[in-house]
Amino acid sequence: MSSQRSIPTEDRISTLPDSVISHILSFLPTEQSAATSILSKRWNPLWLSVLTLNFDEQNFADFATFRHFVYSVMLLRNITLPIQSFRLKCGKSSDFNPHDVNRFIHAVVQRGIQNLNLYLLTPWIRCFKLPQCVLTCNSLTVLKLKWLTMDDFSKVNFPLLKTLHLANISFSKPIYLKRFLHGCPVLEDLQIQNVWLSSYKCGELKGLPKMVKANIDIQGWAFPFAWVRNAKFLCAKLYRPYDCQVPVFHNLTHMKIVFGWTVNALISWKWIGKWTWMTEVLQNCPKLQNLTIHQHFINTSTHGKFIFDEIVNEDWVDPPIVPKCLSSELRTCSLIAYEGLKCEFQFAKYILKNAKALHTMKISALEVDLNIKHQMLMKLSLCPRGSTVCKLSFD
Amino acid sequence: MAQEASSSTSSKTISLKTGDGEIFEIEASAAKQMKTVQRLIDDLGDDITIPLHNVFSKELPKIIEYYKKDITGEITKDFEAEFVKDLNDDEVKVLFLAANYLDANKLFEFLSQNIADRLESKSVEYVRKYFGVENDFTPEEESKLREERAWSFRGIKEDE
Repeated sequence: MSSQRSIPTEDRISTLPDSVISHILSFLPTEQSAATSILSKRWNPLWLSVLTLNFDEQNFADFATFRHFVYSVMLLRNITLPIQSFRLKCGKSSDFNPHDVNRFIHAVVQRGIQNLNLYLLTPWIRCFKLPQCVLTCNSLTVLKLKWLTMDDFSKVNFPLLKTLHLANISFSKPIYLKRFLHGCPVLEDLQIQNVWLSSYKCGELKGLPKMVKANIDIQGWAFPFAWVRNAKFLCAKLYRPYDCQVPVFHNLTHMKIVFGWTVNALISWKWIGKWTWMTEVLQNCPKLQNLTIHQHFINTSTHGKFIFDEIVNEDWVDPPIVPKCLSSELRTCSLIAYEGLKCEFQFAKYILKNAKALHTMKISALEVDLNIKHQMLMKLSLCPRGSTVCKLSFD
Repeated sequence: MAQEASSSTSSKTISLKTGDGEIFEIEASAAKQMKTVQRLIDDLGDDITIPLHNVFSKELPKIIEYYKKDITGEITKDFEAEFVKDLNDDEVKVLFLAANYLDANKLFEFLSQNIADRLESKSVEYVRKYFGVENDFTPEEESKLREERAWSFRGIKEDE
């Protein structure tokens, strides 16, 4: 009865409006969307109306053909049409020329760009310097930079920037990183991975007020977590705990801590005191609902590892006050790469005992042997649980 | 006798009727995410069964499944990957058209990306067939275009 009024799929797809087709094309690499120009007369101009440009050098024979394509597209496109989103990945070819990339970026910055993603693959000796025009591009809402250096600059102005991802970036002095973040007053999503600074002191910075999500992975210097103290979601990979000053995270509901381990340390000490440190962190997270701890140690088969643990096995001491989040907030706790060592077990036991609102305690063991795993599970399941609904999940 | 508490809008369910006559229930808060449905509710009221002529019993449950996860805030990349894992290109197309018809923005965006991913490096003929496009170029016009845009055909599979 009602099928009288329904339209067959074939007709519906061919009558999709241009805007919907352009929208799908915007998810394709630009050279692929350009290929649709031969589909039909109607499709011929559609790819040029797409507001997203996505250029990846690896789909081209060399930099010369790549740059020819990028210039052609920029010229074919209507000059008054804005460029909302621009992604550029290049730098590997031996004939790479940074001047061309500078020109592309200059052109794009003047066209109302909102989402800029630059991924340079140049080797360190020829590392690409970010042109200054990007730093005052005030239309940006998303900025993702990978493998570049920041030249010294005086001002950064990103009044609309909500997302900032920096990976493998070097700043000449810490003041520049601080100045960079100062220029992002409405930042919500911050991801920093392998940002290199020549020295360690960063000084004070007010917590970014609108912070929602932070993902920090830094080796070699202590990231000031006070900068992200307003975040709701935090993922942090830590290599040097004694540098870490943990502020109070008033809004934090989800936290993931990854204990990283640098292979080049002669003595492979796995951060003595980390479980005690973890309970101190919990004191500073009054609203925490979800906690994940991942012990990410590379080369776990190396000989030094277990021996050292036995020598330096720390003693566990119950913290003097039960952290507030345990009494009423914590719902899930996840321990990844669990080894069942003394303090690890004591930590798990402490959580099970004191987390009154806990639904799930999830343990993922590193161990492969089923017997040992079974023993670990038995030991944990015998621990008294402070929450009547708590489920213990073990794999 | 205690008065029966009126149900809050968050726990209210809406009845949807597909083009092939089947009825499905959906939470009011999930229905809000589909603008077409919400408009129909505003016009017709939330107590009657809302008719959806261009959505069928094959795809509506999948859409409901997506928005059920969405209202609990649990949509992750893993969930989305799993969601489309067993769907073939045509099934995704049907879901996409339904999401477009229902004006369900989040699902629409996700499926646009998924369709683009599936079409990447597919042949021109495949894309034509997929979108039901009739080639109205003469062979001469087409070969001229291919020549002019030779740089954009690198990496695209030739017609099978």
